[in-house]
Amino acid sequence: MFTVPQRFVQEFRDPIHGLIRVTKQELQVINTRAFQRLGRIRQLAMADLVYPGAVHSRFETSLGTLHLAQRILDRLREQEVEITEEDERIVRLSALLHDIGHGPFSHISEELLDNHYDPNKVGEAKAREKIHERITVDIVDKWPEFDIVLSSNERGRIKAIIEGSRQRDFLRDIVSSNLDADKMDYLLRDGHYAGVRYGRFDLEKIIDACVKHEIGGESFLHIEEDGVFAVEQVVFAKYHMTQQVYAHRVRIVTEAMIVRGLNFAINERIEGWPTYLPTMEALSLSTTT
Amino acid sequence: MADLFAYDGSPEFVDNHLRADDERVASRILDQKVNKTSAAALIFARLRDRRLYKQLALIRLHLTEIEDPHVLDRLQSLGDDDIVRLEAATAEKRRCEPWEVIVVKKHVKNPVYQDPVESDPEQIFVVQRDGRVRKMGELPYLMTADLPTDQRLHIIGPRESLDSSGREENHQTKQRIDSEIRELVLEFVA
Repeated sequence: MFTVPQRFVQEFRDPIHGLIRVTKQELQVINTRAFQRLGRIRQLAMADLVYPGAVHSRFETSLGTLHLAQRILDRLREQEVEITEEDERIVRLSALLHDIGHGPFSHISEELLDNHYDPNKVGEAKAREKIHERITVDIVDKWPEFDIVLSSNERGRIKAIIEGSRQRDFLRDIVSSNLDADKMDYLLRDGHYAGVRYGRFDLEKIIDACVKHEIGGESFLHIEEDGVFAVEQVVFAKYHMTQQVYAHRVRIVTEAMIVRGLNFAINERIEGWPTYLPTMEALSLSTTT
Repeated sequence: MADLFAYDGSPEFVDNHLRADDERVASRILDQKVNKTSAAALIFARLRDRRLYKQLALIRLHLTEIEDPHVLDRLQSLGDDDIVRLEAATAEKRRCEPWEVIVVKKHVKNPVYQDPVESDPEQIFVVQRDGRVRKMGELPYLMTADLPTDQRLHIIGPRESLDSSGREENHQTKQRIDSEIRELVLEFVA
């Protein structure tokens, strides 16, 4: 199947995957203030108090997720799965933007968001629904910087991949499923930066075993049977990473302290941000002039 | 700070949210000029200086540690008010401020546990060699944890070289031979 090759304009050196190449449009996304902020949100909050090397950010994980999403797309194309250039662009952008809604201290802020969101205005969150994913969709949809770099159609398709729908789609599975590019990246990356060996698994075998499977008009990203052992490695890698890193005794202490501190900050009405930051209104003006 | 977590779907929320990052939030809280008596500032100062609270106790919530099932049930179903009271009681015992004691419940999912009732929402699906789709938990591999050993009967013999023109064709040929021999073996033992 003929596809127009992506035109890469820049590459990032990454300790996990080597060179990660991005297109002009992706570079424009990366250069927005919204995306650059991810570099100031640590993937594992204050895990460096336990594992001094664990200071990596959501910025790197987002690039890594884009890279692995592309590798899965490439593997599916080798099996002659039809993937258009636009599909590829949307999957890559969705992978790049999937974490854009994360709040300060990453997952720790989710607990506060779950406790403080306004159900009267946005409705009750469904079971297992994460408020930060709704925020991600809002940012993709409403943030003025993205008006310039993403078309309305692109925003709509990226939102659909991040939000999901009742109809399963293998393109969404690449970005958001039980064995997606994000999970594969964060296990390898968190293990690397924490300096532990628990997050490792046979990435090459898993990507090789990825297949598109169609059932009843829906499409899924599934794994061929000979990839089962590599998938077992992922399952156990996640378990061991959880036991040894994510739920480490001292990390639980620091997380509890951050949550309590933030709750006090809310109750004590600490507020206000430096005035040098442009407002969304100012950004809107700058994008329209 | 309250607006930072009070998600309401508005553009103003997005604007405020995108101003916040780890350092900016921590700095704002640690701004001692405006927060001289702030408990939030005290906690974040401890985090900054790595003067962390310690784990005072760890109670595993299962029957091997808590013998009385009623006590276990009460521990497992502690509500927010119960936790506040428990924190206060612990603080009194430790002679510290009630807000300095934090009780948290955490769980780590056992990846080999097979729920007899509910299907696992984190299930990963596998396409078997015969084309059928199975859940990871249904396959006789490590995950199922229901076999003491993985016993196998290997039937080995010569086979014609497979035409390498197509992976799918080769796969089908292997499948056909496998089915034929399998049938033969089952008839043999019957």
